[in-house]
Amino acid sequence: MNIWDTLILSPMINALLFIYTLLFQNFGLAIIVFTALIRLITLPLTYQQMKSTMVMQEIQKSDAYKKMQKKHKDDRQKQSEAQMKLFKEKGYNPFSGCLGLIIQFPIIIGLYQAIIRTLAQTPVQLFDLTKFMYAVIPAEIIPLNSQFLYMDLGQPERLYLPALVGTPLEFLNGVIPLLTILVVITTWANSKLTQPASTEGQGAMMGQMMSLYMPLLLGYFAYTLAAGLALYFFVSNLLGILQGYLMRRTREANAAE
Amino acid sequence: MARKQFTLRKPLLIIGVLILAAVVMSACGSGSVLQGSSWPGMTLEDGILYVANEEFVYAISEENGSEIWRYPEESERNTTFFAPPAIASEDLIIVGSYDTKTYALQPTGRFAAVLWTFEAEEERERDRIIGGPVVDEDTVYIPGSNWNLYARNLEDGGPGPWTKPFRGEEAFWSAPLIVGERIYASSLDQHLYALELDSGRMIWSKDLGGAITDTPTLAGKALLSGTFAQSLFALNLESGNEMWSFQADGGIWGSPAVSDSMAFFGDDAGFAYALDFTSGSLLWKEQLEGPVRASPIVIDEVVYFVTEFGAVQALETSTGNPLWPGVNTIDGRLLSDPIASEGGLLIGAMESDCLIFILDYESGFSRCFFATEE
Repeated sequence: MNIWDTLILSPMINALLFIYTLLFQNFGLAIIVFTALIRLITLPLTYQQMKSTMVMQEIQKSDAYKKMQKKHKDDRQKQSEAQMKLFKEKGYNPFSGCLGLIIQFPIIIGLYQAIIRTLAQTPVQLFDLTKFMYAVIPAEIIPLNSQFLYMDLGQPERLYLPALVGTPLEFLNGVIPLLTILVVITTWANSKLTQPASTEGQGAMMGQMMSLYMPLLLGYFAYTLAAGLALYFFVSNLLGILQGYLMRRTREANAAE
Repeated sequence: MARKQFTLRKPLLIIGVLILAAVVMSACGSGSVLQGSSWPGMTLEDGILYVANEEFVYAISEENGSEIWRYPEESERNTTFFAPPAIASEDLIIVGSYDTKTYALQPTGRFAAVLWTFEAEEERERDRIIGGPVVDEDTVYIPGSNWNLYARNLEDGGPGPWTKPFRGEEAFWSAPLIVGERIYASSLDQHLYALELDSGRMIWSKDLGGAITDTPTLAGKALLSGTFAQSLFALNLESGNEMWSFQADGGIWGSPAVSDSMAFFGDDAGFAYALDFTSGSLLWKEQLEGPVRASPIVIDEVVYFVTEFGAVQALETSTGNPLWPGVNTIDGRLLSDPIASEGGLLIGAMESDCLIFILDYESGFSRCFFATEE
């Protein structure tokens, strides 16, 4: 095993398996709890990232910012300098949000790999999985029960609705990728909370592109890859939205006081 | 001008990162979940080695390693083979696919034609064929990953002698074993099942406490079967009652090999074991160079083990002493069951430039026997 496997992947796989053994060998519940735990561990990072976004949004809405933009509208260099000065005055560091994202990235990749590896679908994948397992994890739990609600978490999710046949939705052949739709919607909502609300310039363009492409990208993954991964995306988005909502309410309450 | 360039570059960077993420995650995901990969499945019959590996099934001359035919002619998307083929005759080869179909192939020169295919009606998307089918007279028995064991008509793939498939509680990943009027099937649901061959009715089942990935081995009046839970069991062939069990150091993946009254097996902790299969007592135990997935094979009082790290080790059956000085290694992961041939031991390899190696029994030297064009 390499350093990545030893330090990131193996602990994650075993944590996931340990939670699975505690939660009645229900892998769907294990993914939900594990995702919540990971979000809890990375809370300081996501908190900083969201706070940074909200401060940025507040700055952009402020009169001082609008005045500054109007004053230097013909000189990008001076506008940029004035903007940095304003950021400094408000205690906003443009890179503080990025740092959180960068540190989260290996955790997200590790979590993704952990879910994929524990959902071993072929003998060689199962053989590889057992080498990651710590001795305290009972071998009897293998293979994992991948059924959760109507889904097989090891296969792409599809909700079969024979009742659709004979309705205007007949073209769907009685199948709806429900989790994919939920992933797209929640990713879009989450990105709206975490992207700065720039109204013009490259910031606005970047924000719009992220809000457009991220839901499509994760929607594509949710549609084509294992349902276990789509479940992770969905739960992670929901928790992100909840966190954003609570933080926003707290800031608004503090501002009102 | 400078401002425009800067404006364009950032969004392009984001798109680039997103595309990269898509490629990385799709690559990790599709290989793992949708298409799958595993070690080659091999069967030797009447001078022809049949190999199911990734997109192709090959028929290879045992004499010189030349390709006789392959199926399909060109690689087909989402079709992956790794279940050992079953040979009904030289003109009828049954092979299961990870794409959920079982194919009946008839060689036609350098390629093969499909005579029929069988696809489960129930839970089709889960029915990836991983264990090898088994042919008995005019019936083919197909272990399914959708928890069903099927008996189908060999001639056209239509319904066989059973009114319905036998259903376990997890996937069947190994070829069943036919002994007399019974068929024995091991399942990931941790049970070994004994069924009536002509009806599929269950005679007995035994919970072994760990998933079973390989075919049970017939040892006198006992069936030997190893589990993930690191135990080897001997069950009475008639009743399914436990005769003895043996606790190993690691998970047991492959079927034991038997010779005289001895049983040999390896585990994923990298140990080789020899037991007296009448009592279950340990005769010897040796540390090997790497975890063992494959079943060992006994030839002329020598038992051959292959390991994941590419080691091929020949041990004397009576003592466990190595036949050759040092350890012979092959470049690749050796997870397939080795097969004895006239010219030497045939060894399938994963993650290697050569698909099949041949190893000289006496000297232990190996060379590439068959490599794919890819």
